[in-house]
Amino acid sequence: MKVIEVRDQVSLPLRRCFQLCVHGIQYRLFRSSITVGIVSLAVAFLMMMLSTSYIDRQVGADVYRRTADRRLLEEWVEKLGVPMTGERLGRKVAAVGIGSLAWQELRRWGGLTEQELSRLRSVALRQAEYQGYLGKLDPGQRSALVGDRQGQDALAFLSDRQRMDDFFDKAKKFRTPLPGEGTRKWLDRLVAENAETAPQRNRILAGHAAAVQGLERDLGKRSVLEMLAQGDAGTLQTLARHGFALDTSDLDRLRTEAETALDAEQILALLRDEEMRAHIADRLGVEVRDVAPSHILKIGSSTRGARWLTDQVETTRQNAVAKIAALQESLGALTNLLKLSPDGIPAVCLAALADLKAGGEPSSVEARQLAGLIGHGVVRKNIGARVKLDPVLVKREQVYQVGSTPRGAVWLIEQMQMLRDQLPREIRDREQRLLEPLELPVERIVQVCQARLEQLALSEKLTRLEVAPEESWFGFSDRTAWLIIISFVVCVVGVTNAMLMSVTERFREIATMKCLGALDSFIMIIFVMESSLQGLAGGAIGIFLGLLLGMTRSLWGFGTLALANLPLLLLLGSAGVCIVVGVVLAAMAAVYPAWVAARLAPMEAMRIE
Amino acid sequence: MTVAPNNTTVGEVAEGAERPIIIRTLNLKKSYQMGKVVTHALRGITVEILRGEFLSVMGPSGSGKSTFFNMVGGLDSPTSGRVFIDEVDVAQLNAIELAFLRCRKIGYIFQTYNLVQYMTALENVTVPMAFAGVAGDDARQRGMDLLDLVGLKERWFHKPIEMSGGQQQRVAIARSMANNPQILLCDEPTGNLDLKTGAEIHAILKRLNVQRGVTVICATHDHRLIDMSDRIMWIRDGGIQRLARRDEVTVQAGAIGGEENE
Ligand SMILES: Nc1ncnc2c1ncn2[C@@H]1O[C@H](COP(=O)(O)OP(=O)(O)OP(=O)(O)O)[C@@H](O)[C@H]1O
Ligand SMILES: [Mg+2]
Repeated sequence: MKVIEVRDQVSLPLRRCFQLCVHGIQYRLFRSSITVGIVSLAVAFLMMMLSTSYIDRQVGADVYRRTADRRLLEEWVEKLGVPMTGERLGRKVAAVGIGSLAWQELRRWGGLTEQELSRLRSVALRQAEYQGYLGKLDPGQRSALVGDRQGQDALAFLSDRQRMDDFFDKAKKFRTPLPGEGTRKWLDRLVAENAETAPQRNRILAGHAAAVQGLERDLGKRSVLEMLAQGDAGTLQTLARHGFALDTSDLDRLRTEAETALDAEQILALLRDEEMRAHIADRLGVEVRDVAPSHILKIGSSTRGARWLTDQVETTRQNAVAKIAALQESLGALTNLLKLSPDGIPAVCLAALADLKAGGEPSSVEARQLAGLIGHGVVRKNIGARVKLDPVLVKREQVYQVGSTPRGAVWLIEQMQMLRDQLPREIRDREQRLLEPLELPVERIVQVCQARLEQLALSEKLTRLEVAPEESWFGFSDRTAWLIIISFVVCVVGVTNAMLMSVTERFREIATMKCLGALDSFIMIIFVMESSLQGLAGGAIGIFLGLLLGMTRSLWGFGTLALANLPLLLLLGSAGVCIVVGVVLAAMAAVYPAWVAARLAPMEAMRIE
Repeated sequence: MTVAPNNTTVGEVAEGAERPIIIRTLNLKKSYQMGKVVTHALRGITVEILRGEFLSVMGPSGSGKSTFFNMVGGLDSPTSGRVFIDEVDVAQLNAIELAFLRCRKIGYIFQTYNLVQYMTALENVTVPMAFAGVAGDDARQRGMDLLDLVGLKERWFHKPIEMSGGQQQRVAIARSMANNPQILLCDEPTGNLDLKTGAEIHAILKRLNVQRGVTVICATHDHRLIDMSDRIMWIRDGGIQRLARRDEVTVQAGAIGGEENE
């Protein structure tokens, strides 16, 4: 039997395969670009999800870090100023590090031994587990188990055997796994120990409340914030006297933060003044009632704005002071006028009218003081009503006319008495509402406003980012993780489908090549090459698109904060993942049908279509 | 009309024992399963084709000519039966050996041309050369010569869609000769050509047959080709109806012995 010599059946060099492949792509440019387009969309979707998730995560972590000082201050202001609730104590004990300063504080307030506090902590931890279990239930289930009881109550009421039986009967039917070891024993023990440790908890609460009270007494008129802003050795001593343990580095952070808080308070206090609000509304072109803290902060965060604020406070103050002076003068005038007898007034008035008629000014002091009455809105209105004239048109002539008759004079005196009674109160009012002068230097105003504005923006952003930095699945929340997985699947399906289509379309070509003596390897190489190229192109475009979309979204949401927090390495990594997904999937998706077609007899392959 | 009573006479018909057998088929059957319907395209063909022979295959449409060519050329696998080429059982060949066979031993002219759409005429002609390891200027030179042979030298840069059916067919013919095959399988090579061009192609085929000793197997309805043939095989309903030497057949206008309108 003769043997066929196969040594000359060569595999084409890769370069030639590449040429052929590019050739084919060029010919089917339109079809190829559709394939590339689908791949790029799929990859873009994945890339967008990855990039936004990474940027979100990074921004979240950054915001959390940047707001740490503020959180510390809030924590301490509450700790030093407000007696703790039982719930808060529970959370605190569960979270406290053994032997830390906070641990010692708790021990001191409760007068507890190490063991007692340890036990308390263990109870608190289990209690937290129990509360977490309740939290996972839906509202209906929850109310079936514990009714509308919250916190300690939701545990304490289980001390009744009957209720505990009930609880377990129902809870076993729910799909949520029971808390702790999931046994009745575990919960029984928790209830018992929780009840046993209640007195100790109460002792801590009482100790803390006493400490808060003592501190308040010591501070006198000063606020906790002011004390922290002072933040020197004396502060530490005062705190230590009441059992609060604060280390010096925390004190430094608190001092800076408290200073800012105080200064910011001073700036924000300007908003309480009507006139200032009006000025600010005017400057920014908003409604007076819409003026919010962020507005004044925005003005204050530029040097020009800060200077304007300072000036505006000064003029407003001066206006107010002048107004008070005017009111005081009117009060003096009233006392003077009221010294006149009822007959005196008509005389003054008639003389004044005569003077006016002669084309001169009223000569007597009293006449001029009487004319001053229309400076008070109420009186002006009443006179207007009496002479049947619009209050706006009321002039001194009308005052003199009214006062020139005896009956009118009596009426005027009544009016004056009313005014005399009112004015002192108004003066007092105005004095009280008088703006504090803004004593901060312009640079400080700018600094504080900027810091506060940033804090405002940050805290708003922190609520927008559902990711707390510690929670993790690669640092992503469940929701984001799911989105990423879904986009990955979408990407896989998209790329695979596009490639399958483009290969099955070309079975005829494969068959022809085989008829002409192509090796299976050639067919595989050329198809894998082509789809890899398409995958590469699609992947690159997709990465670009996805990054563009993701960045746009992040920039939209977080502005420069997103730029400052670009996780370049991670983004590069995502791009790598996307390119690999694009190319590898495209190649793999092409391998299978090409392999099937290559292995068939050529005419069989030609029949598939 | 005389019908070859059975296939055993085939060997006797071929004259001259000095000519070795190049293709031999043994009870070749092919059926297509389409759902529940089975089409028997070939119902057992046993034939021996000699080296250097010019064999015409005739038969009505759907009689199984193309199917027979595919089997003989190793392009499809028979349902049963065997094909020997140079005494080698095609079914025993592995993928690379099959590729070798298709590439060098056999040239195909398909009824449907099967040109690669994105390649120019010249590129199409040089594809089989590339698979045989001939590339570059050598391949180009030979490709141009072949195109010249079929009268398409001036159109070497045209893509298939830019050419008429006849021109495409001529490119297919040029391609089939790319690697100087020993066997040419032509499925109606002149079906789309005018009389003059058809005649030219016939001349080319005959010249190859005579000068280079290429075995030409040609499906056709063209009487002029029958004139050039050494033997003629009639296929009907997937079986050999008649196999005769040229001198045994009288060509008449409208009908040849064993023709379909029998
Ligand atoms: N892929 C296929 N699936 C099913 N049946 C097929 C297939 N290819 C061919 N056939 C059937 O096999 C028979 C032979 O077909 P074939 O193409 O060999 O005929 P032919 O002699 O070449 O005809 P023509 O002169 O029209 O080219 C026909 O009845 C056809 O219907
Ligand atoms: Mg046919």
